[in-house]
Amino acid sequence: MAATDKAKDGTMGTVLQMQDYSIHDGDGVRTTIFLAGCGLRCQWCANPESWTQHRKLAYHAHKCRGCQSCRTVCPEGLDPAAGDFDATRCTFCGDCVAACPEKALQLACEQMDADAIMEQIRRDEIFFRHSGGGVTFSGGEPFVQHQFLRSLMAGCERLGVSVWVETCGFFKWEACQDLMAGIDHIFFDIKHMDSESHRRFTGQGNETILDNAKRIHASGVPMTIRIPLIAEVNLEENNLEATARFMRDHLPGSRIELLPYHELGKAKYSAFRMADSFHSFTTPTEAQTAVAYSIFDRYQIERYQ
Amino acid sequence: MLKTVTGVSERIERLRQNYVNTKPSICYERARLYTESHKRTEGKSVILRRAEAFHDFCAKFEVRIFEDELIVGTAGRFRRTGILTPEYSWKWVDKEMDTFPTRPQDPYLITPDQCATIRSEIFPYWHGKSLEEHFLAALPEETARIAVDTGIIDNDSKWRQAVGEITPDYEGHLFVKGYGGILKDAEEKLAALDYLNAEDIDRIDFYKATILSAKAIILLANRYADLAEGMAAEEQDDARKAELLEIARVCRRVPEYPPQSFHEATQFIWFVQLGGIITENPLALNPGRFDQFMYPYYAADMDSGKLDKAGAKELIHALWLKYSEWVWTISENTTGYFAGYNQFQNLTVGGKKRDGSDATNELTYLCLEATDEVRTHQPGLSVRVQSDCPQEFLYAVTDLVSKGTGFPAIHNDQAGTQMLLQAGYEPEDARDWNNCGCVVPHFRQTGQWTSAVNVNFAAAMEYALNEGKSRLTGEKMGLDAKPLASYASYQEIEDATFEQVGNLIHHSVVSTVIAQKLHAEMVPRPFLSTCIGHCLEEGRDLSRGGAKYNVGPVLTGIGLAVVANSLAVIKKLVFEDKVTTLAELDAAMNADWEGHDALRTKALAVVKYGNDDDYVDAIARDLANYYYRKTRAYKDNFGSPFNSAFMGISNYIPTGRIVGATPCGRKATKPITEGVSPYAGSDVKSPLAAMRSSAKMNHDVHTGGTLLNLRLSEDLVSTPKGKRDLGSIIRAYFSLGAFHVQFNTLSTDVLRKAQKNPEDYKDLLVRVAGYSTQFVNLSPEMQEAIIARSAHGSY
Repeated sequence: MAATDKAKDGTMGTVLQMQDYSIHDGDGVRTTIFLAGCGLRCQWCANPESWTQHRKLAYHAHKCRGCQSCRTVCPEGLDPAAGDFDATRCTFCGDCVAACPEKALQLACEQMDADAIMEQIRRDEIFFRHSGGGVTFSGGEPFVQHQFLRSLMAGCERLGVSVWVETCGFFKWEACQDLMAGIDHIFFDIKHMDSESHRRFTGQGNETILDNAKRIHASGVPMTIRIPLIAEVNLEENNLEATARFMRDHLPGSRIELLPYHELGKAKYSAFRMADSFHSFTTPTEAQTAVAYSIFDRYQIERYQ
Repeated sequence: MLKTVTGVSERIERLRQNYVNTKPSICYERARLYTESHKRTEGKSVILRRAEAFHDFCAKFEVRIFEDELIVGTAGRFRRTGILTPEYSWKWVDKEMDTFPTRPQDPYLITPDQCATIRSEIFPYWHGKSLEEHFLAALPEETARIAVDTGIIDNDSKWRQAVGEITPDYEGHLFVKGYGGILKDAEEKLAALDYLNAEDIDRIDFYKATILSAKAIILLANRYADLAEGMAAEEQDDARKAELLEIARVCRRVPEYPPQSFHEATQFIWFVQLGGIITENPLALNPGRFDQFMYPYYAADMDSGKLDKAGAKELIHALWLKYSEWVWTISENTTGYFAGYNQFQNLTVGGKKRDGSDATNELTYLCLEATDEVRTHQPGLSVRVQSDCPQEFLYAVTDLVSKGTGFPAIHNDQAGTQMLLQAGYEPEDARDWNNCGCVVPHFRQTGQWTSAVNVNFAAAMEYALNEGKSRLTGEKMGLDAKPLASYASYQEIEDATFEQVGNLIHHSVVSTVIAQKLHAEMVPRPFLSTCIGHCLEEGRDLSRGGAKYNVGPVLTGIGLAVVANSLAVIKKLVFEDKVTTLAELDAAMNADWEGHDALRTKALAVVKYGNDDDYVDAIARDLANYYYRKTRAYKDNFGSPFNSAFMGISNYIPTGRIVGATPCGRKATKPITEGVSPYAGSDVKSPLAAMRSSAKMNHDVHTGGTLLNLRLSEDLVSTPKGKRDLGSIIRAYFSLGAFHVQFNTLSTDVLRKAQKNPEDYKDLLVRVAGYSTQFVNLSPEMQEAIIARSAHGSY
């Protein structure tokens, strides 16, 4: 079967990374599977390589010792370490990655078989069993590859493995609504309650996102709303009040988790030659975060622990 | 000044500061008194001479009680004392003592005057009389050339040192009888013996030696009581005066009589430990299941109101400091294997009782807390985690892990019991196990050499790949082997490697049984034999098989992962992918990979043990199984089969120094690997994958213990959820049949800071391998090896 067919029937998909021993993505010890592709372009995104599903070559300049092994092996005659590296000519064959003694080169967005992923999940399952953990699908936006997600979730169901999802909320409901019944918990991002502001910072308005939040809630999946807390973007009281009201009115019972902005993704922008897309923001202080939480406290919205 | 810790009294903090800031000093008083005594007892049987020497020491040594002490007794003039035991070995001391203060690992203070006295007044008597000299004379040449200070097979801790490796039986013997009772029993036994029975003669000497030893330790305790009374009379401070009088009262009672309070029991333990130290300078003289045999005294004192928690803690802290203050005097070669002033006194808590019920109690938790609070490197704290252990206990365990001290060593209770059953123990005794040294499952009525020989697997592989020769020296050290390029298949190379391992096992056994025989003839253990009831029953010394269980010596395999990784590289790159040839690989290793960067990159890219990939893990498992079968086929002088182990200690560093480049991509002389741990830095996936790889070894057959060390990023255990999750991971790992795991949770950042400013980090404990010690007390090479272990972070 050709790769495109496999993508269509969900037996193959684009994966950024599988990370076991994840303890911040849901109950117990979890394996987080980062699926590529996202319709938002959040200016603070820590995983910019996840925006598209096509393969990419990263060059980590700080690890490079200039041995030129990569240039020597490249069948296209490219120099992956050069500043003017032409990604359009790269076939992503991976020869340079294998040749690099310093692990300064890395391919992202690999195609993976659902079976290979299930095999890894099967191995990690012993750790889920003892901790009450499971699998968390993250991204990118995991609902973008909904066919692939569907086949992975079916596999999890056969193993009795719990499924949590981290979503930005920007996806086609009709294509994904059947998946909700198999999800044990959803972390759902609400970045801004004002659609114009939302569009300015993420490239899209928030209408679909807020609609999807209500639909998920109506379908009965327990939810935790997450806000990436960023001083310049969404920290003002009006916005947080509006979020809390929305939760009270439309998502009763859901919990809140505030994730203060960090710049840990900064190095990725230069490694993937996306430095132009990088924006710097201000991390809220602990006091500002505490004030933000207190707003949700006033609405009797429980914090996610 | 060093940061103070919380949870300890001001007195304990002063004792602790002294321990952290004082360099150990050599005191030759023990060697001098033993030598004088032996000059006087020429012609008597050796067991009596040793017992008389011990008695002389106890009668003549100028005892001291130091400021603030609650538990008293030292083996020398200093609080942090190392002693000399020339009857075992004096030659290495003669050769090395001038550089004791300046050697990189575990230096000791000693003055030129002291050295001169030792050379003129002590050592001349021992010329030709020491265990070391007899051993070296007895060892066949073909074994000696690979077994003496080579790093290939190493057992010098069994002929330059005493054995140690005993867990005194407090519960069933010492606390029941007291030394007064042991004395009385020995006298009764002696009275029933007759010189006219040939077999009674050795037993007569044994009981006479027992009587002397018991009298000696009682005398020593009473001399401390006298001193405490004298000091009390002079003491101006009323509180200290009362303490000194209480110390005097306690020392009058124990160890002559069974203890009647927690304080008395604690001091009793220390006197027994002291007797062991003075007589043997022992490795791994284990306190054992402290939370079990001490609990009745703790509970009674708490009930009667004689003791509160703070008081109990203070005594525990004081005892922990005592365990840490004295030093095991060892050669520079041995420091490579047992770095960090470590004495390997293993104290085990938790697990099951003899009847199979849960053994955890309040004291279990106090021990875990005390280890965090007082931050000493001893005792080596081990926990037994059973599948139905209280969740609170597991939480307390992972909470201690989160403190970054490397403690506790975490053991699978069921696997430990299984190992003892496999070694031939009765079920109730098998359930009552404690750890010996680092990770050897053990029991208090046992005589065993739990760390008999270190066997360098990587050296064995080198001989298979290099025509039987060392790649670094060109000397023939292994069995004959053909040139690498002429091997026709992968299987042939694997078989040749295993065969070389088999040869090293053979020489390890030869070296061990010769040492065993000499131990029985030359270095009887009259004092430590008083600690095992069965010796007293039988009238037979520990060194002659007097214990209830005489379990075969343990051979520790080192470099399992390096060999598996290397064989996997050969299999994949040469025979499957055909991207290189054996000749090219041979040239690359001879050149220490210089000029072969591309090949080395390919070699490093072949999957490594520790990533849960059967391609390489199966090779490790096959090698481990071979090692077990081969080792187990040999029997020692008591007819007991040898035992295999993959434990730690710091042996992966000196063993690496003698091995050239290996096909896995490792460069010449770099460390190899410890226990069943992955190669440092190569378990790239996660600790969970490393655990799954390790669990593929059949832990339960390696009755000498297995060891897995992992580094965890500290943020994985910084929250209650993180601690609970780690507990679940431990349960999952143990459900796979694995035996031990231990974590270092310090960030690389902190370790780098400690390297830069050692003064500020003197009490920073790290896990070395099967034990913890102060990071700043490790040589720079060891520090780098610790930092190189993968730190696994969460995402």
